[in-house]
Amino acid sequence: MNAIEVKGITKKFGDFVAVDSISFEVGTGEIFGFLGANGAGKSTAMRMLCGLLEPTSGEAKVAGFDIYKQREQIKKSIGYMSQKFSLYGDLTVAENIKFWGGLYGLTKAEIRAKEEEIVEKLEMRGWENSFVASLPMGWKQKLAFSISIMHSPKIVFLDEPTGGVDPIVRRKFWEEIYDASLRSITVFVTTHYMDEAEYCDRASIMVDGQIRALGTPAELKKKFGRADMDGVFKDLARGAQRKDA
Amino acid sequence: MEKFFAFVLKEFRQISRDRRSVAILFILPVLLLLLFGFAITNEIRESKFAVLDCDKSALSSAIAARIDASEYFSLCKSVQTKAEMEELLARGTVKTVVVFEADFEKKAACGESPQINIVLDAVDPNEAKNIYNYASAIASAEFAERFGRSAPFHGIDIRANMLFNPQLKSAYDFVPGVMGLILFLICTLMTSVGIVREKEMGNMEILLVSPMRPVYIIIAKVIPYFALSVLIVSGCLIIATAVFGIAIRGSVALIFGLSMLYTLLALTIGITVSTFVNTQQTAMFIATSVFMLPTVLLSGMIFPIENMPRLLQYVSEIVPAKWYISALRAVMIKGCGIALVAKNIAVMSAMILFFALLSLAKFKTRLE
Amino acid sequence: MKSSAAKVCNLRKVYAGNGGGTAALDGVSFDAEEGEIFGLIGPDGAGKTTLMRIAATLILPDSGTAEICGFDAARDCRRIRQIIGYMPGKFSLYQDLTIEENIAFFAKVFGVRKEDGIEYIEEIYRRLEPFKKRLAGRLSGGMKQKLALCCALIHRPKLLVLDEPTTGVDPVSRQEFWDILQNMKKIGISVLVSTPYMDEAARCDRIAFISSGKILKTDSPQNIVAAFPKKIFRASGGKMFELLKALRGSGLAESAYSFGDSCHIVPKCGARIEDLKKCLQFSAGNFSVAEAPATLEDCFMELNSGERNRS
Repeated sequence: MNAIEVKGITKKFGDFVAVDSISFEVGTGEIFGFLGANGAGKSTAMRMLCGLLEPTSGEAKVAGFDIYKQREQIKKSIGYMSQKFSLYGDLTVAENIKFWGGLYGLTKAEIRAKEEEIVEKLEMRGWENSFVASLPMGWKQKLAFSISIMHSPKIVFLDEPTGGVDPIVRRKFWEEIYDASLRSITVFVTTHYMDEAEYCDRASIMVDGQIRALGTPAELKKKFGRADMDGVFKDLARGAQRKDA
Repeated sequence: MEKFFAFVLKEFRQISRDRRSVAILFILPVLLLLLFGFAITNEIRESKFAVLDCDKSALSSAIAARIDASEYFSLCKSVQTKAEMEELLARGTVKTVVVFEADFEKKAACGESPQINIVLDAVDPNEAKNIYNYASAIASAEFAERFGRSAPFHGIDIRANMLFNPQLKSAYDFVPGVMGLILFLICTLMTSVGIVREKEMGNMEILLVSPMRPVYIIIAKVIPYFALSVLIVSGCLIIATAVFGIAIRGSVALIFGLSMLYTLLALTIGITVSTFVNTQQTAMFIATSVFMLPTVLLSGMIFPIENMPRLLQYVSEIVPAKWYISALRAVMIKGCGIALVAKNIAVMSAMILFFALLSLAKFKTRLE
Repeated sequence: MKSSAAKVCNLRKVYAGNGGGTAALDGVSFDAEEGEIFGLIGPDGAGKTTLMRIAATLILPDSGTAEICGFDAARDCRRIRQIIGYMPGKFSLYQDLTIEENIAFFAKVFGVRKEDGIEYIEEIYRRLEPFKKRLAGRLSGGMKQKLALCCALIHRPKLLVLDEPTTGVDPVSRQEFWDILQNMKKIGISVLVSTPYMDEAARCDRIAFISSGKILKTDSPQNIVAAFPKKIFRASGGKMFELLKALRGSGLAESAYSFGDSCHIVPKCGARIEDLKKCLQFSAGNFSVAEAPATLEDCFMELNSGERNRS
């Protein structure tokens, strides 16, 4: 079964077509890169998939649930993390885990087990009672990610998870992502770092509300005759009509 | 100077684009005035009264009968003693007692001014005033018919004796009160929030790194609110006279002068608040809790200060609105001149100086 | 010798916060020359914004000096504020004014005629003009950033101080932005710019790598790459993360990190390319290994991990 199936979903704001009939499928456990310039419609599309925004038309299923009728089930089956908003800096590591665990509807015993597992995995023993704000960037990042998947969602949406992050931390973070996909968690990720696009199993590039290219990084590079994803992206995004509008 | 005007223009633009604020700025004063104004009834009809006639003469009976005959009054009882009268008033059986002095007719015949004492329940001061006006008009008319206007009489001496609310806190008072509240609300809350918004949105960061002097930024920021205050003062005065028929006894120039002084005070307080806080929410919270509540509760706008516990009376001394409202009442209603409100002016000026110095000392030309 | 556009000396700045306080800047010195694009490259939390704000006279350092266009940042802040253009990391124009009104406002604030200013920023303004009646709050990221640059340039500053102008901006808009900066440099404006994107470092004349409040290295990008002290092998093919695991498990690599579709390996002392090839033959997939030149990102990672090991 595919984790995400999208058939021609469109979102209009008045006359403005933010997302123009996009279709794609994401397989279970796949790392899917969702690329596009600012204003291409990425955020709108992502919000529709998370059940935060109702499409104007089209069909889509996320984790097997309909995005019109089964939004609540969708919200239970997905995780979300972004660079901008993730954890509460003025709560401790343990408090954040308990808070989000509770929010995701985990039982006390499950939360305790998860807390143990996360602390163990991230080698954070002894830091449980430190404020998240005082942690080094790399740990914050990984902790946010671990928490976003602590309820074992089918899909995790990562909205520019690595913006402004140290190059080593960024790479280690992608190894976490890879790890999650090995555990059959589907990863749907946006990024402005084109080297990261190379790490995706498949990537799509949105321009003017439409998906103009979709395939494995190797396929895309071959198709556009470019050495790297950066070249592919720039070729496509330069042709944008409504860029920046 | 051009920079300065550019800033002022920008402020006006922004305010005009923020529809919600505009609505608050213009609708709130009107709404409050109308609310306070119409909540107080003006109409007098068949109001019950008693007579304490110590003279028991033809003249006193005639006057009492004439009052009773009018559509405004109906005689409830004749009483014999002061104690009886007070009981009736305290129970609320009657609102008014008309008292004739012992030598009423004799005095009138000798050409002295005979005295009528109208004792009123002034819990609703507006009503009490109306009753007094009607009753005394009727009594004077009867008196004049009998003795003629040109006679060597000094006329009748009608005295009002307002019980329960001797200061007559009334409709006449809500206009200064509402003005005191509105001007404070707009100037303190809007300026502090406005300045803090520039900080919060990061605009201040760029403005600080410009040749524009921070002091000008602040002054330009408050000019639109100052202009608005003038409009609001005019609006309130127009409503007060046109809708409620309140006569402005004192000098209009003095009323504007006082209002501008008070506006300035509220603005400096707003600026001071903005130098202490960094988020719009905190500014809003401080402006409402620290400044607004005392303005409503302790300024004498609603509750008479003289009825407060001693401690609160002292606290009310530092509430800016108290000084403005009392000065405005004196000028607007009693027609006092500048000499009688000099103390209020001095206190408000001192407060302005204090807050101006405080905000200057606290204002940062850098980010931290 | 060229004079300095921004010269900072031994800057220290500690913010009081929970847990005692962390040093945002820990003895930072560099000298950005007049007429060059000087880049401050480092991740979030490295101290870039603090440094930019000190340069823009917005905050004072705890110790150390900053000299901007020959003026002392602590004493002559009024003079400096007239000759620099500053663009904070966060979009700081008036969202409830239109493009046109924002530009007109800042022209007035800086005391220039809008027409003169526009002539000066024409290249950027041309792209904004079709939307000049639109409220700034309703523009996309790339557009806002161009508008902010217009407003920062309107008074013909001698020095542009740009704090992370390209964060959150897509690669195409980023490239356009850097093209604009190159043109600014041509007409004689010095630029002090910070960025977390390593690929943008190559577009600066000189860069300073900054991490945890310390400058790791200051030089031209070319010199930094040339001075990379170690060999780099580049391996590609197959699944990236399996490749990384195999490499790290081999005991031959000092470090192995992904770089796009291939990975860069800093071999352990004495490890030869043949050893790596042999090792990877036993793993699945078709791998190719070759020696490769270092990139700026390799340099930063190497310098940064060196710094970490010391502390």
